Amino acid sequence: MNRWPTLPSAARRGLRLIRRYSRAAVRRAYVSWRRSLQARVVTTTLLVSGLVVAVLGVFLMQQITTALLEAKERAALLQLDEGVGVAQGRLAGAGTDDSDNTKSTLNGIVTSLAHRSGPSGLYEVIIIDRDDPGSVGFSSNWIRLKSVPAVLMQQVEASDASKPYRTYGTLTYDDGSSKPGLIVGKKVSRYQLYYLFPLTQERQSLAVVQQTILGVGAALVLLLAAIASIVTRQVVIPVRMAAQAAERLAAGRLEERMRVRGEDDLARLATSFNDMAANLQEKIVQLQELSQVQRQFVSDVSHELRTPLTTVRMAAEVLYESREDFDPMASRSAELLQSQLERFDGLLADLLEISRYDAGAATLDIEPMDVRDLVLRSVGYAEDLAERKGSKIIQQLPGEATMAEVDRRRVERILRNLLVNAVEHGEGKDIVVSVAADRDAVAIAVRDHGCGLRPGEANMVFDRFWRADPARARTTGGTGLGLSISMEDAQLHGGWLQAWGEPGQGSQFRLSLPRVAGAELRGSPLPLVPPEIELQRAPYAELELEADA
Amino acid sequence: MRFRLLAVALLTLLAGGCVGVPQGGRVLSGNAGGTEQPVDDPFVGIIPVGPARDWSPIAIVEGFRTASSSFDGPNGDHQVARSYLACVSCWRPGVASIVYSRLDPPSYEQDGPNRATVTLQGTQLGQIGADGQYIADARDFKQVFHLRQDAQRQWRITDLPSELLLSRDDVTRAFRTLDLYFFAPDSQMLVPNPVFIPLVSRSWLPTQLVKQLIGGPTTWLKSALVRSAFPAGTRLRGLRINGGVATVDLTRQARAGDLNTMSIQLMWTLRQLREVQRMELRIDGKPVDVPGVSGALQSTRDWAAYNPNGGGEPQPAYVRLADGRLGRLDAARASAVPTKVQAGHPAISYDDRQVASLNDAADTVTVTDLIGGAVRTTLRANAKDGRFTPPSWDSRGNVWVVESTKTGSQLWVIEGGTRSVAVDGWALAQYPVKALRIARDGTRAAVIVKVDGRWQVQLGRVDRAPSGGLQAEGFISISSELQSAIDLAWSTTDHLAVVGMTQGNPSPSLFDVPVSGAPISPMIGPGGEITTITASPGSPLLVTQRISGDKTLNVCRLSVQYDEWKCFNGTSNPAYPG
Repeated sequence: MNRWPTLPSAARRGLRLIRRYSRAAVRRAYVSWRRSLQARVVTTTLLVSGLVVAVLGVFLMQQITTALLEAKERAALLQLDEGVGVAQGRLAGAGTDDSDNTKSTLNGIVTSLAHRSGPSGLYEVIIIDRDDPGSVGFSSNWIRLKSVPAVLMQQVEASDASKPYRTYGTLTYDDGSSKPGLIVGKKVSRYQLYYLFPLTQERQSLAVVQQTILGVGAALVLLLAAIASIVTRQVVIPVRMAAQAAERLAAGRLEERMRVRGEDDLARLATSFNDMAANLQEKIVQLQELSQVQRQFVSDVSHELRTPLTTVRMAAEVLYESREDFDPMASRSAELLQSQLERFDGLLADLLEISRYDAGAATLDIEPMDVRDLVLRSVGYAEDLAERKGSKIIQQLPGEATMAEVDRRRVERILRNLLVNAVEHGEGKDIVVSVAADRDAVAIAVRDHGCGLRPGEANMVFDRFWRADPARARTTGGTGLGLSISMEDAQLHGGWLQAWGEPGQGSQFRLSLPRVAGAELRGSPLPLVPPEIELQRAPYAELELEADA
Repeated sequence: MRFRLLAVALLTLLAGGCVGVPQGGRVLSGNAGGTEQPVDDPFVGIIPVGPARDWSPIAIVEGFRTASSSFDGPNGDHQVARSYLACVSCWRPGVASIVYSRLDPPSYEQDGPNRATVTLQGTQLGQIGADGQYIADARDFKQVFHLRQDAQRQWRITDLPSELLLSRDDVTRAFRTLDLYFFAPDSQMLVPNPVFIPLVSRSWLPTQLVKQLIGGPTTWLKSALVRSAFPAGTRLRGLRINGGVATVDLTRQARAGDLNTMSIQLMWTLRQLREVQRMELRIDGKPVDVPGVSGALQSTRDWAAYNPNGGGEPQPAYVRLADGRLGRLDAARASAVPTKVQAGHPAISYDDRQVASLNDAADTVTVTDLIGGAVRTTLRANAKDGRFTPPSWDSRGNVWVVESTKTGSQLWVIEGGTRSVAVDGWALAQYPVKALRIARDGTRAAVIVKVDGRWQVQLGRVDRAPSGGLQAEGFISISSELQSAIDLAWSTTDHLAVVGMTQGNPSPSLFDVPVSGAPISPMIGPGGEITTITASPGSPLLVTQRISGDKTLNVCRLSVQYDEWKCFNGTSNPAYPG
């Protein structure tokens, strides 16, 4: 009962398995066809050589068959001629007046001709006498009359006595057996004499030849495929090695070289590859050295400028202290000198900091800190400036302590930079500082509602000496290096510093830091795009769609 | 440099691969590995055709006669010839045939609007019985065919004789004469039973041969009480011949029979076929172990002791020397045996110990020991003018001799060479007899008897009558071709060497006469007038010859290798044992 339904399901499962395997095999084959030059070359060789061998084999077979059969036909016609001679001699010597006499003579002819056939059964003989009622003649060894094709019989019957005819047919015997044969016939006075040659031997020979050709052809095709495989291997392996070397080179291992063997084309390829790699390495090293020199130069210049600047500053300090003694023009100049010297000082400090980063000399001084404290302190620093600009700094801090392993000085510098930046571009509107944390990271976002950033500017803001409006004079605030330094600081922590902005919507900068120094940052607890903007977008889009409709 | 090497290698390869047949080489020996044509002679058959439209009754009968001489169809049932008949399946001819030597033009009689009678008349040589036994019987015959026109106004044969009408050529072409071997009634000797078997197809002949062997001897030989080892009901399941090995498969009834004797009969019967060298016996499909045969395959060598022709080795030859003494014929000359023995028409026993001979008047038979010369017994003629034929020994040590007068004859047997008995059941008592030779197996006797004023060669059975006494009867003529015969001898167990005359050739010459009734064939004689002949299987033929105009008799011997006679001057009456 239970077995019947399971059987088809088992069959289905088997079918599915087979289908899966075959599909996998096809896929594998396709993949290796796509990927392996060797597989492609070997397959092509197999197909083409198989085709060529098949055509050659058929041609060869036809040639051999023709040659064999032509030889057989010639021999057959000679035999027939001899037989006709014997028959004519006997017919001439015998009276053919009586039916029994004629039969006896014809019987004797066929017997003696069949005797000549020998023990190997070279041929069978049929003699045809149309004049005797009850029989049409004599045959040897139970061969049937229908072995002689009717067409041949008509030809021979209608012909004159000197012309033999031949054709191929099937020899059938009384016991039902049959074999292919060659049939030749000729007219002898009023009788017809046919020789029937079985082609068993020829068929056997041809079968042997055919088997040989098949075997040799198959071996040849396989051999060609093997040769193609070996040859392509010789080409493909160096190519693969070159590809590997190029990959390693691309990964930065500039000392990677190919092995050069011999003097062939592949050796030339290896040599030129190696030359190229050497040139690249040289250029890269040169460039590295050049930038090193430049950085050193900047650092040196900054240092060298500092000493005269200190002197100038001290002198300017003196002038500034006693400005009230000067006339208004000189007093104003002393004030200007003082303020620009401060800026110059800041600029130099920033340059030194930057060159330290470039030299890779910046180090972290890590300690666990409550991020809220850092924010509060930075806001305290920026509050004066904000008041002057008419902005208010709104803080959104979490209730509990938000600890992270950070360098206090650097993080404060980042936050100060961001806040000053926000105040300067805030156009007197509110500035929102928010802090959030999750298990792995803390994030601080500074949001202003100023003119915002144009598309594409969000990345450029971190470039050195970049200005949103080149026309604007560098009168106020920053040195143009603040955000660059901040970026470097953030990256030194393994954190992110990202900017968002839209024209008219203001901008937001987000600093994300891992809570544990050295941990990798996977995500930020705060969104880069402020939530209110994100929320607005969707309804707006819908409204626009409705308006369109 | 490398290219040049490559080119040389390529050229060598090309030259080696060129087509060519060997023009010299070693000398090898080899076998062809089996012959394609197992039958020794090519078979030639007539191609029969059915009747054409609107043939006359005579043409129909003539056509039927020709077509029926072909045993075509799967079982030799004359498929084509049947198309001449009104009722295709009513005719069951078998092999029973009339063999004619002369056929008159057919006579035709219109019996009614669509009925006719055609009569064929002529002279026959003999008849083949339904069991394949040939009996020579030269006389006139008459066959009547009734014909009727069918719905399409075509003449068809409605009533016909049961025998086929065949010419001698037809018989030679369509039949093979083969011996079936049976055991003699009271000895382990094989008796040949020649039968005519139609050559239906290559595979049909061996099968039919074995079937007939299992079926038993012909009616004629059956009366001689020969024994067959096959139990009643045994049939042939199948016979396959492959690579010289005949596999005979019998039904399970054969288990009751003696495997040895069955194998002997089968082996000696099948060995006549050239394609059979060895035999495997199976019963009910399973090979059987035949005692005395190592392995499954047996050959005639395993049963050489049962050779119907004896060992086949040359026998010692004896002659009557010019001085009337018995002599031995060696390769070069004849020399007298030490014992003085009367040597008129001597006959030597098979064990080479006794000699039976006639006196010069041929009215006394004396049996003498060859060594010592003691006379065992003497038989004198009963009748006043009774003359004895030369005596003949059988293999059991009996001497057979016929006392013949001008009007009749009497057969005598000297049992064991000592006790003379007149045989009561002598079928030829009414006829004068010139010669009698008992076959080696002791069951058949060949005689030259005067019937209808003609000395004929006849073959008869020697057996025991129901009353228990010996009898010799069932004499049949075996050849209508011999007009007259002078002397005869068994050259093999189924062939006679006969001195006789054929029609149109009155001078006596030598003939090989198969006892089967197959055509006789002449042999080259030594010339001169031949008076006696003696033969033995495997030994050269010996004849007594007299050059015309010369009174001396010479014994001439046929060389075994060549057709060459060597004559020994002054000797006469040669004899081999038997």
